[in-house]
Amino acid sequence: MSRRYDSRTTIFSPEAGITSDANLLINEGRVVSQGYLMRYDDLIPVENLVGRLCDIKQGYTQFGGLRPFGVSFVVAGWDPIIGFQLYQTDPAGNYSGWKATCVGENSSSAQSILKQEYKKDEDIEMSLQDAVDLACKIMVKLTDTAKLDSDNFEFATLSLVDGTPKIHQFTSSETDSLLKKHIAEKESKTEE
Amino acid sequence: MNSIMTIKHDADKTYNLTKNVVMSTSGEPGDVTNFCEYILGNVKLYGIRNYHDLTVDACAKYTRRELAMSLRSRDAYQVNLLVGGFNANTQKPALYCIDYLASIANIPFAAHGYCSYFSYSVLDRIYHPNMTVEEALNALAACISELNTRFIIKHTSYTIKIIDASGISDVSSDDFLKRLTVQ
Repeated sequence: MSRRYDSRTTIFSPEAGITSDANLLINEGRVVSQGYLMRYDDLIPVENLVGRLCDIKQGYTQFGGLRPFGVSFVVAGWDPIIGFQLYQTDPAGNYSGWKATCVGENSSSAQSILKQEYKKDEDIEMSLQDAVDLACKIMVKLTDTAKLDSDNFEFATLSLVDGTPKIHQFTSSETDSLLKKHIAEKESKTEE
Repeated sequence: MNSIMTIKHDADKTYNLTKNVVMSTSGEPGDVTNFCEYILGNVKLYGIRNYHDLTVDACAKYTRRELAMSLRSRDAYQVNLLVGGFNANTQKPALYCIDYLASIANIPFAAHGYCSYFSYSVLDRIYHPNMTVEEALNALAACISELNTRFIIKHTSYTIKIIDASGISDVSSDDFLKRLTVQ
């Protein structure tokens, strides 16, 4: 499931995490973003937001005797300071920046495929379409064909349109056609 | 401070908040120092914590908010400020005029205090968009020349700073005084 924060950041939290925990943190994150806006009249830088969420998570591992938040986030965002960024957080409150990452069920297999397939050449930038295709290809590879439809999958992209970041959440028909394309590719490969 | 004594004629009433942002001050002397040191400290702390500095716009809005929050309390500060600088993200300069009642305006030129009565008229004539540094310094000299003509107090030293993409540079007061048409 994906949740939108402000116009620039999208937080993706996987079903594997505890949804109710995720909801709480996302609410906190929204308050943090608006607090920043009120103080500085500016949108919060992505890393600031991620750091604040992680500070909350960390607090629950050290103080109060409460159980930690059972959520890992993948945060995608853009700000004028660094540009496009991708962060991954865990229940301990650690976070790090990534070029490509995943969380949840089968994430280790997905991560190893990403490591192989993500274009390592610094000079060649991956196009948005290539990135979408790669993400979808991995999903298709690791999921039962029966479950590959817009009921079970959500896709979203973040890109710069005229200098402002825009989130595009795929409609169910866009999702279905994207998945269909990759299922067909997968099946033609298995035939070979 | 109600006194007729000049303690220091070349006092620097500006604070370099970041590499690209300067805050210049006027008002009740103790309030000014207290408030500005507080702002300076917080702005610097942000820069250290977040590995990047606040932009000139964020600095100005933050300063204004702190002023506004103290306004309706026992600790109201009587401080007028100009916050100017260069925003490296948008590649644009900005100047914000904040008064002691925490009102803020983003304008191309500004002044606080008695000198504003004279300066605005002069700058209204002279200012045009995209002035060069030379033109800007001459415009400033024109304001001060007008003050030397018609204002009761004459100063002999000025603190002048230029902020651009590469940072803050000081203009020598003696060099600047040579530009004045009325000494």
